[in-house]
Amino acid sequence: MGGILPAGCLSRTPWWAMTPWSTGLSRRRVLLAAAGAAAGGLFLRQTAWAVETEVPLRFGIPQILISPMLDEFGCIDRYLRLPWRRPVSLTQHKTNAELAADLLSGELDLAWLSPYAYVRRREQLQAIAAPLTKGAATAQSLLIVAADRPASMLSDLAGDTHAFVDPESASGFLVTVAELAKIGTRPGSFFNRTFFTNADRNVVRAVAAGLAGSGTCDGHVFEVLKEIEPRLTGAVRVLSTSSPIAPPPIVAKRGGLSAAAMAAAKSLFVGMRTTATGEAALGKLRLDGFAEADDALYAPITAMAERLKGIV
Amino acid sequence: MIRSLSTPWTLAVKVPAAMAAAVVVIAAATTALVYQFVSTAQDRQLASVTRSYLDGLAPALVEPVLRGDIWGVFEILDQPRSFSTTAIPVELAVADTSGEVIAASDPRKAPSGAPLPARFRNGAGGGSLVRDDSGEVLSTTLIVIGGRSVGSLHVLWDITPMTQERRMLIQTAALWTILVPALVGLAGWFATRRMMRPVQILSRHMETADDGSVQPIGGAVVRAASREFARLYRSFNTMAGALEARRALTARLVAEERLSSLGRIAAGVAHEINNPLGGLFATLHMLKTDPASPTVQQKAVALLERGLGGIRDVVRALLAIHRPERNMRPIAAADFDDLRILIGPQIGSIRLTWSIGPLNGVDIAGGPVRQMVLNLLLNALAAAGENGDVGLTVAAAPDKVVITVTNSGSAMSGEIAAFLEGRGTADVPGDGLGVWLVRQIAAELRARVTIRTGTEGTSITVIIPRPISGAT
Repeated sequence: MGGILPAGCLSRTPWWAMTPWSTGLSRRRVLLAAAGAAAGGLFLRQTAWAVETEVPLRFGIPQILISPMLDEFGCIDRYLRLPWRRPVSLTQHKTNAELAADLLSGELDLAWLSPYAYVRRREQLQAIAAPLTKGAATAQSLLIVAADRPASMLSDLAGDTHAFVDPESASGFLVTVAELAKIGTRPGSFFNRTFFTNADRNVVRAVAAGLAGSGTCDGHVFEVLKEIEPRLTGAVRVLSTSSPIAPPPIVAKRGGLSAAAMAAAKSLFVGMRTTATGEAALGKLRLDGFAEADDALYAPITAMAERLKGIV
Repeated sequence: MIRSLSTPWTLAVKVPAAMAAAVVVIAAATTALVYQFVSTAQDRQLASVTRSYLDGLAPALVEPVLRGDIWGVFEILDQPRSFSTTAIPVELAVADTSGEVIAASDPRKAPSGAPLPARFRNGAGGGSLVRDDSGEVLSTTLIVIGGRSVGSLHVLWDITPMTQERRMLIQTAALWTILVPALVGLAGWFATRRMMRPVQILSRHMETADDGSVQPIGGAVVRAASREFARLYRSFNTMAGALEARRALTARLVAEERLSSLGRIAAGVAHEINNPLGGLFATLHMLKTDPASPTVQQKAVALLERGLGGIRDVVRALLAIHRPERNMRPIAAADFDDLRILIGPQIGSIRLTWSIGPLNGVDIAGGPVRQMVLNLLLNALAAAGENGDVGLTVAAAPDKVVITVTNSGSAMSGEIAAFLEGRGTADVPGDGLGVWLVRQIAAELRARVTIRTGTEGTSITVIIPRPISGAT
């Protein structure tokens, strides 16, 4: 099975952490995989949902997953396509809000959404799987500043131009808002100005270039960036790391997929590490695998969002 | 000698120098033209490059500028900027309508929210291009939507590639402007020297002609020469042969003339000796008829003495002409007395005016002067004809001796007069070898000959410069 993997799948760079290839990238840009799949695998026969159809499975990903490489997408696409035996269309969206809107309107079947965006729409959305990092389904938020800046804590950043990822991002926005709330302030008054870059990597770029004095971004993305773009991360330093929070789940619209399809999708993600194609895709993402997502995992984020209602 | 040698050498320098100078002028003119052309083209290209860059960026900026989206603007500005080889956009900034920076490509130099730095403001105004002293060019354009300006885009360009290209062009051109003329000059020098070599050979051989004999160019040289020069050499050799033949002929004629004048003189001498001889025989006869008469004896002695004295004088004059050691002796009045004796037989009925001034201390060789004056006198006597007048005046001045020979009779031909005065051709007019001798001797003595001639007669004045006293 590994023999049909495109060569790009074996490169070290995770496909979602690649340099954006064009700022004019259409959010609706659909990257279709190459046609002609090999004969069906085990899941094909086991799942009732695996009907022979040409209707593609539409999987939405946030801009965090931007890749300039078609074959990088191919890794996930191939993994998803093989068992389902149906084409997969991967679309990347600029913001979590857009992603969620498309999911709710039925434009997408599945989406990889920020936990904060998910908990805000818990009634309509259902988490299927959550990524595992270092064996645990956790994420962290980082506060970063320029490498040569003599700041030691959040309060030193007052009056800054601050870069966030997305207004519906947990690790790239909500955590810092929560920290500010603890000291009785809010971004609009604590910082001189704030802006959203729509991607964690862009926050690092903004701080490294000096466009922002400080920024909030995801810890996992930063770790990978350190590995693949040491020059970029070398220009910044981590001021503080948050307590673990829930990672971004794979979500579907409640009632959007049949119970069987939902179960199939869940087992597909959870069982990803058990196949060579899945293993390759996980390698790209620097993830250990996916675990079943339950509401308990997202309860702390829900609570945090509740607390901050009125601020954000 | 030096002058004639230096001519080809100078040509060997002048020609290549002129060639090199021409190349320099052409190269400089071409360079100036090319530079002008390249500069204009580059300026036009720069304008077009900056224009199209700005025009490409501005529409994409409308949306983020309208939203005040710092990141959106930055992301558009923060792109790889290897846009053109002419100019590189080094710094970009986008400002809102109030002149505050929304985002710049280098946020540390132009922070968001700060007023637009001065270096971005010089060219404010739609799409203008301003070049400052540092070699940076600023281009600006307004970000317009629906005819309304929402902000402005400012780009600083590094035009080093362009200026470098220009500098390289000038340097290369300068190098060629020096190198090519130098090479042309050197090649020209060699070529000209090579071309001038036959002329030099010819010139060297011509110079030998000053001595009267021309040395022909050797066969090996003629054979080695190119066809044109071989022909020239052969022509020269033919000419040299003709000159040599002519010189030999002239020498023979001079010898013959000497013999001829000797013959004439011999006849005169015979005549001069014959006269006293008649007297001597008459005396002898007288003595035979009356040997005892004391009166006859006295008369006979006187007659004998006069007759023999006359013969002695004639013989002495003859000796004077042909004894070389006497030729170098300074001129003296006695020399002219000898001449009078020598021309005696030719005088006949001609009236002779004879005036010889004192010649003491005049250090001029007597021989040539005698020969010259003898010829002049013989010619004058011949020209004067029966019952004519011939005169000789010799006067010494401190720096010269002036000898004038006059004669009545018909005018001298202009050709001969010109020849005698040293003007005109080297050809001897007519058969006047005496004339040729006079000219030769005058030249030897560095004498100046002036002739006045008309229907009343001819006057020839020879002025011989005296050697500067003390020099001898």
